[in-house]
Amino acid sequence: MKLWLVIARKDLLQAVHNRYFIGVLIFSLLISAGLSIFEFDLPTSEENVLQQVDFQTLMFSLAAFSPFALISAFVVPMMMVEEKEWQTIRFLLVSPASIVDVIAGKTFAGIVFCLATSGIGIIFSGEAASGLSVGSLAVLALGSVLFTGVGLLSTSFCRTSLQANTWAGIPLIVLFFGLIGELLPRGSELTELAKFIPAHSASVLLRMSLNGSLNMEELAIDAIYLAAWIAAIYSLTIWSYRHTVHD
Amino acid sequence: MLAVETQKLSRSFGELRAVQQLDLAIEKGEIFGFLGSNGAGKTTTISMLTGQLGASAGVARVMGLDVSIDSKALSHMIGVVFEYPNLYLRLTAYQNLHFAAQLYDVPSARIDVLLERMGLTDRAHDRVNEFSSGMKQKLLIARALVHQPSVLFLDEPTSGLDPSFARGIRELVKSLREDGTTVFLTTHYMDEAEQLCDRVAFIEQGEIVLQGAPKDLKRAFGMPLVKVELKDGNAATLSLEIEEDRRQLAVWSESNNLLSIHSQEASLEDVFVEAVGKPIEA
Repeated sequence: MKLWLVIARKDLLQAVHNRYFIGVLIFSLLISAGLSIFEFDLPTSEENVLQQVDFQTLMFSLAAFSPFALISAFVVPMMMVEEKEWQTIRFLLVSPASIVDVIAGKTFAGIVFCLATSGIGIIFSGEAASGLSVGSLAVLALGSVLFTGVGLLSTSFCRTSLQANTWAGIPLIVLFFGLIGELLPRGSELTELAKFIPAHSASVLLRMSLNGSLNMEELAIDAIYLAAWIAAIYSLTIWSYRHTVHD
Repeated sequence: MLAVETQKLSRSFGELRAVQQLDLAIEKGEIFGFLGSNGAGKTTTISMLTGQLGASAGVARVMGLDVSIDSKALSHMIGVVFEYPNLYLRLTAYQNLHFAAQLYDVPSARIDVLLERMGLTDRAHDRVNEFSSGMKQKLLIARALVHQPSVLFLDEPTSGLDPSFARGIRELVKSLREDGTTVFLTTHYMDEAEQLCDRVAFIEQGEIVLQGAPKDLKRAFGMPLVKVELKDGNAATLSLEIEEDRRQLAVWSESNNLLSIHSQEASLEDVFVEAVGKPIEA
């Protein structure tokens, strides 16, 4: 078995016995299910920005990606910080596993948490979920890689659970800001800023795939943008852990 | 080929010279004690020899492998028992060993052998956070032996353990010698080193100040004294190197006046104090 799979399997096994992880996963599931089933009665007016977007797919996108953000902020960093706190990372690094295997293992476990939680959550969304295509699933998979990477990177300098929990809120806020960018007034500086956050690209791609409005040009721009962010985040993560795990 | 060999191995952290110009040559199957106070450079040396930390200068080889070049091959040659019980506390003893066995691509059957050897078979499926310090230490050793390494690094293996568990760990280390495993042991317990080690090295402020077999060091640094108690209630301390004292001892022996004779040779701790200039600090 590949070493990163061995590490991922161990992390998934540990999660079963971790009440904190289970709590976060249940909370994420409730958020996702709640966003999926909630029906909004939108006031109709020309100024209402909510009328200018496909609200149903936007809520679906939020329902799908919210667990990703919570897991990337509260579960993924803890998987790595606990290795440092308990010094088990030292055992891993004298074993045949490399730091890349460790990060890949954590990423795989993070992706499983994201997709499982989000998957159960969006079952509640009924009609919207029926629009899921292979493209949508690919976007969700890509999104889970992105969010997990953000979680690993954002707390790479932390040595304790307390530090990780303190810092975890920052990526959470940034990622949510990217997800809800469409709800902000069009043309405002904040809306333009939100477009630079890769979570926004993931959200746009998912909604386009749900609407069946995915054209190759838009797909290429957002997918390349997202892939570039993922590559940068993981490169930085590997660099960062290589320089911090021996401290 | 030597099991462990270093030449001018050094490591600095900024201005601090943690290890300086370390020369070691450890034979296969030897139990080598690396003794020193806390902060003397023991753990830094282990970290370099196990590939966890790069050296600032010098060369280190384990089983002929340059530790700075082939870390993957090195990982199969060495086992490390860390000073801190770095186990996965939410997993069971079996799951911890199974994880290690998978990392080293070792068949699961090896886990049962190790659990049996460590006396942990009955607790195999209990979570590690319910274990005592001694049981955790045994599990750490089992994990380090899962892939049958040629060289085992033990960092303070009996620190903080109660005497019965400490004795058990020492017996285990002795049995490793019979298996042909080379043991690199760091400790600040001198009596432990005396019991276990074929050779020891004293490290102080990152430098080796003395190394050799415990018997040779004690002989070189100690006086061959005996304390004699006599049946008439008197007592005396005699040197076996002084002709007059030897004659007196013979007289008491022939007159059947000896009650007891106690060897007063230097302990390893005395040798350490003599060599380093201060007692070992735990």
